[in-house]
Amino acid sequence: MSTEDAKLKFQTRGVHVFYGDKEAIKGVDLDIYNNEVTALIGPSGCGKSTYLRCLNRMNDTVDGAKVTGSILLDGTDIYDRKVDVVQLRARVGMVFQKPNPFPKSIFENIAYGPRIHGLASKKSEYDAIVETSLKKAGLWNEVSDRLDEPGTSLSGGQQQRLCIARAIAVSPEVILMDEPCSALDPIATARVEELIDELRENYAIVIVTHSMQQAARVSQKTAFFHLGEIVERGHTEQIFTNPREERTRDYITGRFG
Amino acid sequence: MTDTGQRNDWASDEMQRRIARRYAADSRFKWYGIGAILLAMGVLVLLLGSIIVTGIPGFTQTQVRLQVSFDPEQFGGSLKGKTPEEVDAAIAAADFSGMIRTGLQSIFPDVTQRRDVRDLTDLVSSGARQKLAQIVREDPGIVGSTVEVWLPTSDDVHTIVNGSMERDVAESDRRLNDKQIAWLETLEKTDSIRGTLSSDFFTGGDSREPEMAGVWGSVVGSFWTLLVTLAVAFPLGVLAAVYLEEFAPKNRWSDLIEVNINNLAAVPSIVFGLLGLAVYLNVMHLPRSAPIVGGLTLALMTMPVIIIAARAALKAVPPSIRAGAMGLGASKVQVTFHHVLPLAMPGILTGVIIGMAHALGETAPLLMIGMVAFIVDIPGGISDAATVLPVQIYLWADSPERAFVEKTSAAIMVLLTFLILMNAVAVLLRKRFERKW
Amino acid sequence: MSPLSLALILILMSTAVAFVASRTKALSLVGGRVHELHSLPGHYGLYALVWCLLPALLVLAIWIAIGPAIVDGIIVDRLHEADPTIGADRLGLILNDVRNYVSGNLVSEDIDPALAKTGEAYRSLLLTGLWGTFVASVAVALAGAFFAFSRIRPDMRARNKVERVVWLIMVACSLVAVLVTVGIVLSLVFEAGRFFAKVSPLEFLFGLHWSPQMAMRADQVASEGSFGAVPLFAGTLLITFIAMLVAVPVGLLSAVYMTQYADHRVRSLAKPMLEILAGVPTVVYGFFAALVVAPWIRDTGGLLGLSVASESALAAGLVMGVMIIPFMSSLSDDALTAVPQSMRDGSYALGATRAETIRSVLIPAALPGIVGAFLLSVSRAIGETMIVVMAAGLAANLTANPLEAVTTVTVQIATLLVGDQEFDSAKTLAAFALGLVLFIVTLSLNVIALRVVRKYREQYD
Repeated sequence: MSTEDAKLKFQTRGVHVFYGDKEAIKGVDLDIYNNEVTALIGPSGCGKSTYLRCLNRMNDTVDGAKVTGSILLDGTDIYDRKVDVVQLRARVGMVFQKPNPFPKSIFENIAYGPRIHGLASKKSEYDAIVETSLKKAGLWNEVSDRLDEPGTSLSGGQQQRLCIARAIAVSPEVILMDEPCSALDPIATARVEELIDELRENYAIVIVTHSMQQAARVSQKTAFFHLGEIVERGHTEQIFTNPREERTRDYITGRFG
Repeated sequence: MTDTGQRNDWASDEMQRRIARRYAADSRFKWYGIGAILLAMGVLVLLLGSIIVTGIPGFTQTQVRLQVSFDPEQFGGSLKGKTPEEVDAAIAAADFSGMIRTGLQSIFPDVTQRRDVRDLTDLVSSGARQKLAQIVREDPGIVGSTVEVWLPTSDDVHTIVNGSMERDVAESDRRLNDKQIAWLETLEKTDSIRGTLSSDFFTGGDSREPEMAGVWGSVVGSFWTLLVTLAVAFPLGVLAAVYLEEFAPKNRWSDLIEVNINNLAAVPSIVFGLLGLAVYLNVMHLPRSAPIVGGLTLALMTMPVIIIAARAALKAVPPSIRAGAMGLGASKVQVTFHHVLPLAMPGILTGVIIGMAHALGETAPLLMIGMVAFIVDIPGGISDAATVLPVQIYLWADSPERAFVEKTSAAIMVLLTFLILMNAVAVLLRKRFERKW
Repeated sequence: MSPLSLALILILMSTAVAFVASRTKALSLVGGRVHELHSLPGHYGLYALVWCLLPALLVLAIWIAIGPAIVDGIIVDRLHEADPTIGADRLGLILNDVRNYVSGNLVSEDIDPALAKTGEAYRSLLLTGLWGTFVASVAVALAGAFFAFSRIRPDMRARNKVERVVWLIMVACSLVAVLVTVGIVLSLVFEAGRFFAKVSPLEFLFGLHWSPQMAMRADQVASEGSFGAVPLFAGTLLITFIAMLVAVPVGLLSAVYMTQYADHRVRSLAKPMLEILAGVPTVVYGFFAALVVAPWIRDTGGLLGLSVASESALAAGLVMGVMIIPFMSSLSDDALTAVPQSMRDGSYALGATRAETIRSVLIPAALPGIVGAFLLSVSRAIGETMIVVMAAGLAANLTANPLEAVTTVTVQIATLLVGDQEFDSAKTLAAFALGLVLFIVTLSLNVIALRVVRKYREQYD
């Protein structure tokens, strides 16, 4: 078994997604590895967000959505009946495009996940979880003295890091990020990108992004989606410097998108 | 969670038990919701069911067959060739009660004691006299002949015959005595009792006698009242909405008006009744109990509803329409009245119909302005004394006679039918003209 | 035909003539070349129409609004002159008789000659007024028509003038809403003021005994009216409380179920069901309460050995609760749907179940909206009349026992004002004082609720 195989987290084969009669994803094969950032790029409506939402079964909440194909997490099909979606989502955390803190205090925002999953029992344990999560998300220094304030009182960038901290608090194995910086200003974006790079040490990260520069900066692997299919996948460096496909080259050089 | 890299043991027994508990809580919660819906649905079924069950007999009238001889003596001789005035005078003088009594006595010749005769004639409705009078009025030539007629029975007979009152109970517990029951059973055996659809219920006005009471008077009263409401509330509401949505500057004034309208829509209806009483009756001396006052009162109540609906409809017209017309050099007024308003009209009309349906079911404010009077005549215009359907329901519900319970339910069914029709029209209108911009 | 209808017909006819004449004049001034006119020919017609119709209608409206009051005033002055010691109560009675005399509603055979004399005076004043209005309105119509007709020139900006009038009419219409509020406040405050001149506000607000049967004559004993409204307020609160116990959980849970759990099919069944429940007139609910629910509660209570009044607060409260379920449910539905999808996604993505998401994220997020819904529902329950009139009693018991009969503010307003009444007795005026309390309470609840809901909407817009 090569080191590459040992690090394999998600193995997806022939993934199709239908919304009613519309086929949004047309057979996607992709592997996702531990300790790596995988970037999904492509024009709007190409299916990259839809694919991302298959990985923690968020499509279940959409009326009329149907997913086929195999998505194996550590060798188990996550769409298997035996797999519990609640546990799955605890293992595969997600951060959204727009920061969405709950209408609760900063502390409660982070404690929410551990609380519902019963990961702590004492106040001191919650304190510890909140502190470590905020530290990992690089937010501790900014908010340690105002944990009782509502999460919505933070700035946009801080809110997004709060949402990342919230996802980390249940110790997931994979973190999915759906355009996490698109609602942020450049400085906040830079902070989040740094954070993503740090988090890579402990998690497998999948990030959907519109910005090619961002993909180039933060990811090790890149997959280029177009019209519900993967056109090209590989090492980020290779995709950006020496794409094999014409369409990839056109997209990267800005001829369409 | 503690250090990096440490994973939660999702497969542990403790964790599995916890998950099971959480799912159980989830499905419990779901069942609370289903329970709430089922409860509401159950009450609705019970409500409609009890009204339909008690109401259906209300549409019928129990009638008795009698041989009535129109004795010329009673009419001062034959009425052939008499003028209508003379016929009316003769009818007014005639003793129809006596004819009914004679008719009954021909079936029960052995009933002669005064008390018994009165009990016997009590089986027939006191409204039967008007029925006979009407027969003579329609055909004066009938005088002198003996004809078979079906006359309405009293409400006590009606409730016994249709089974809403028990006949096998102690004499003191029912409204008919043993003799009356015996006569009734004799009549039933000779097929002289029948139940038919009551034309009096559909065409008559109010009456003290349940068997003669009809909804038509109140339906017409409702019609006149709503006509006034519509005539006042529709133009006022739509013009106000157009102003607020299309013309009004966004300042404190229009804010105030907006808050005002939203609050008016939530003011208890009885307060509008007090306003109507104080202004229309005490200051303006408009006629009490008249549809014009009722309609004006309901108009004040309906107007905010129409304004809110009309504003929503106007808001839904995209700005590009306005810009397009404006670009052709149309004035603001022309843009509004030629383009925006017609496009918003289906939506506005839907709101208007729903507002009118609301007004049709409203009772409380009309009690304040005297529309609770006992009115027998069918109102002929907006200034005649009248009552409306929901008030009629209230009046009948308050009446002690057992037979009025079924009349009340029947009148409710009539009211609900009108409401369903109006809402159906609104739904159709919305479906027909629904437009996605 | 009354002079006013005649006037209206004449005015409408002259308006039609003015419209056609002005339109024709405008056209003929430019020899039929429409483009030489500033506005469309119809605008010139409308210009004349406005001048002819509106002032004349205004004259008619003024008479209808204040004419009878003026005639009343003159007659009252005369009666006062004739007998300066006459009391206000007596004056009111005489005036009522006079009005009945004029409208021919006086049933009595022998009419007091003095009354007949006053009545004739009243009639002639009224007729003078009516015919005066007739002459004035028709004259104003004709003058307006001639004025407009004579001013028509090809370069006159008819459209702008007409549009200005349209604008004014629209402003007037939107002011009607404000006028209605002002009218409510003024009439309630005015009549309640007359009541408080007879009964002290303190007694009214804090008195524990309510029995409004006022002595009709001074020498009549043992039926002194007393106006302590506390039992009414308590009864209203008791019934509202019971109604809320039904409406809040059922309404809220059904809204949660419909927005979060139900699929399209269930929603398309349950939504119309709730709409029907909302569309049932309150008089029907009242009948249902009196016919089905009250006897059922009484019988059930009897089986359990409880003594239940036949018009118990419980019956009225339960049915009122059912009436409010759809209201509470649709407002909560709005509040829940206004919570952004992203909030829900955030919770699901952490592995929360639906119930956990609803309880700890959605409901807290929608709380202001739900509180607003609650306040509006309470206001609705307090102001509801027919259910309590038909199912709650008239007995002003001060009790917290839901099995006893209580009475409410709205029931008392309705009963005090239904039937014949004299407008100067404390009994009828008390209804306006109760109405004032009702208006203030519901208005405050509405203002607070609408403000809360509005703030909340802004938060997510």
